[in-house]
Amino acid sequence: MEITTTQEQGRVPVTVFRLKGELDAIFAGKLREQSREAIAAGTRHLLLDLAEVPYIASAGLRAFQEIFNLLREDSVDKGDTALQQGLRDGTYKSPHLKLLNPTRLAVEALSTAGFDMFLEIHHSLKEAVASY
Amino acid sequence: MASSEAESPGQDRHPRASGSLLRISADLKNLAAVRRFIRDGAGSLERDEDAFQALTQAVDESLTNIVVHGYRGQPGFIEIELSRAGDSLVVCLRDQAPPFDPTAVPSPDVTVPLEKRPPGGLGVHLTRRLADRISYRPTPQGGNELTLEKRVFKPPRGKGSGSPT
Repeated sequence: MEITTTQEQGRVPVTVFRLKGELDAIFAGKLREQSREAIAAGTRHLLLDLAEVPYIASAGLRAFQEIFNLLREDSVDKGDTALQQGLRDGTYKSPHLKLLNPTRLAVEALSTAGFDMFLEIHHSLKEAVASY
Repeated sequence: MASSEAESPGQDRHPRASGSLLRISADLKNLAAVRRFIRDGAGSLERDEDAFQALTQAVDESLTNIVVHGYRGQPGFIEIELSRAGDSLVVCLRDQAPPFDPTAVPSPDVTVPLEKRPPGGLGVHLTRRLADRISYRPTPQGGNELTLEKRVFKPPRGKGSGSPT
């Protein structure tokens, strides 16, 4: 299990974590830690490349939830009423945390848990970076 | 603290294609060793890789629950037994944690916004979706036995659904 970090420049700087390995409880801990560090160091836009993640266990999904919340709390748009409404209605997708190229099982886990309602899924790095 | 490798008591270093057994200490660091054990134990028979990964994830979720909610961080052991039933791979997990039936856990509400999601229940929910069959029984020794089954092997050509070798 490893995480390779790269920086991409779109309209805003985007930090890309390329994950490799099954996203189990141990790997999820590593992802949470690395994300906290990146956010503390100033990352506001995070893209998780999941092309080499055979599956996302529930511990991995909970890590996504924590990162989602950390980036939300940190954002200036937190108090926006339209956004709060969107969150309640399930029409809000994070502008801060997005996913790239999840495998079939990963997509299944995301949709089984209802996480695809809140997280954008992209299939090209270029488009993903441009979407922030 | 256990090492990243599975502990040795009862461990079969060269698992056979069926009926092989692995014993690990109840530590999340052993999940990777269990994945290797299942992959090695499934042998070289032609299989559906997606289905195989799905069963591996179901085992991962179940073991994580045993370590976190069963043993609650206390030391303990988990036995993982692998066997074949026709085109299916069967994984039996035995532990000595307090009795707990994961098949009785209600499914979480997955429509709640991420900010308000209560923790828990997701692993069991995923396991139900991933495995073809899940069964639970308390063991006579006071522990738990959870059996996960999934059709992962492709039937031999021209022989219908096939039979165990």
